[in-house]
Amino acid sequence: MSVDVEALYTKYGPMVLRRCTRLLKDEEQAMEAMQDTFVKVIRYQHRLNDEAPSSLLYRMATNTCLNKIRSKGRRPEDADSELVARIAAVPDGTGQPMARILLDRIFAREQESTRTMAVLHLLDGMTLQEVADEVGMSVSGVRKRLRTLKKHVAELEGV
Amino acid sequence: MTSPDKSNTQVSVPDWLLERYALNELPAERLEALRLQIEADPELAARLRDLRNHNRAVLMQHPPRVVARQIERRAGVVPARKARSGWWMAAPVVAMAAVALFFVGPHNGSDPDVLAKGRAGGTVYEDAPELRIFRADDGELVPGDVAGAGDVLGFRYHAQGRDFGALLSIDGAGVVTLHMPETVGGPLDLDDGLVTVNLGYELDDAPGFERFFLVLSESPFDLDAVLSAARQLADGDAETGRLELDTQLEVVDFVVDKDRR
Repeated sequence: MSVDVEALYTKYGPMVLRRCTRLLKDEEQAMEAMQDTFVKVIRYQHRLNDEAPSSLLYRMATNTCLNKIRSKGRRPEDADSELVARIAAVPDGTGQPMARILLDRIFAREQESTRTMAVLHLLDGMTLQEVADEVGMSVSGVRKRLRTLKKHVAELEGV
Repeated sequence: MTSPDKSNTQVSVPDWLLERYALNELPAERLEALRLQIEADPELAARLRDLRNHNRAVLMQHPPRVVARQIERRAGVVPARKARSGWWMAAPVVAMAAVALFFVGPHNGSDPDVLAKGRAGGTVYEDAPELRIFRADDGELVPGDVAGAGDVLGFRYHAQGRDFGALLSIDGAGVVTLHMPETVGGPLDLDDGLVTVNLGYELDDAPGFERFFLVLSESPFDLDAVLSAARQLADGDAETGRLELDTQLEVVDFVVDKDRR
């Protein structure tokens, strides 16, 4: 499957940019994260499956932003940012770089990043069922993964 | 440009759902249910309208052709544009502007002035590698020349015994382009003697300058790391700043000034 970057950006770029802007709270960084997201699509296109692109790109953008937040140790500016920063700071527990985990999950049906699932559930308001549908796991599997994450950030319970 | 995103904790239809509705990527049943909800809810309809307006604003501010090219270059999948019949036979060049200056020397993290020295005089030590840039139909660029959009450039190097290298550039818009090898995974091997690189590179309308870097080494190196350093430099002072690389790498750079009118 070959990626037509211009067509993909035309259709999904604004959505990805909005996603990155919301998580990073910075238009310039969001633009960079948006491009990083599409770069990942290009690099892994040979393993791209036929999953709905908007769902895929939304999660890839989320993952990209979490990595940026984690690597930069950004200071939270509001409640949403604080939540995202806490999630980003949590170790994923598998010893793999987070981008690797997400991409493996997306392209090879391996495990989704727990942190990405946490953002979908806690920030985006997806139900556990919706998160499960999104990442191809069972509801109980999602619940278990989020429970593990919450152990690392007990404060999330009160958010 | 203000993003129309709302906090999902305050709305009945979260952003991700509205995004997928706008993209027509929801299951039919859910799509229809949401369509009815939007019809009945002026506030929701306004959010959808804002989202679509924002789409248009993003695409106007960041045009797909330009952004796609930036993305492809960052991914290292787009080689420099090649002239159809070799750079020296390319279409007539608009003889506008261009300056070319160069630095030659080992990358030395402890000497911040090394680039400046190179600008002033060219070769700063014996047997230093060289990068020469030519313009189609116009010969080698020298200080004082100015290039413009549409000019086709060619390249020669003399690696002076270094076996591995890569050629890349940063333009005034902050776009990093890999010229040689054609892809990140391509061969880094250099040839002996004065070598003409088999490509013609057409300057686009990025403003101010395009700065070329010939990175050399006596052993294979991580091209991804070089591109990453270039992207970092592109975010800062790309015209005069230092390309921060491992100390075993050597750098020759060449700044082509572009018509600033």
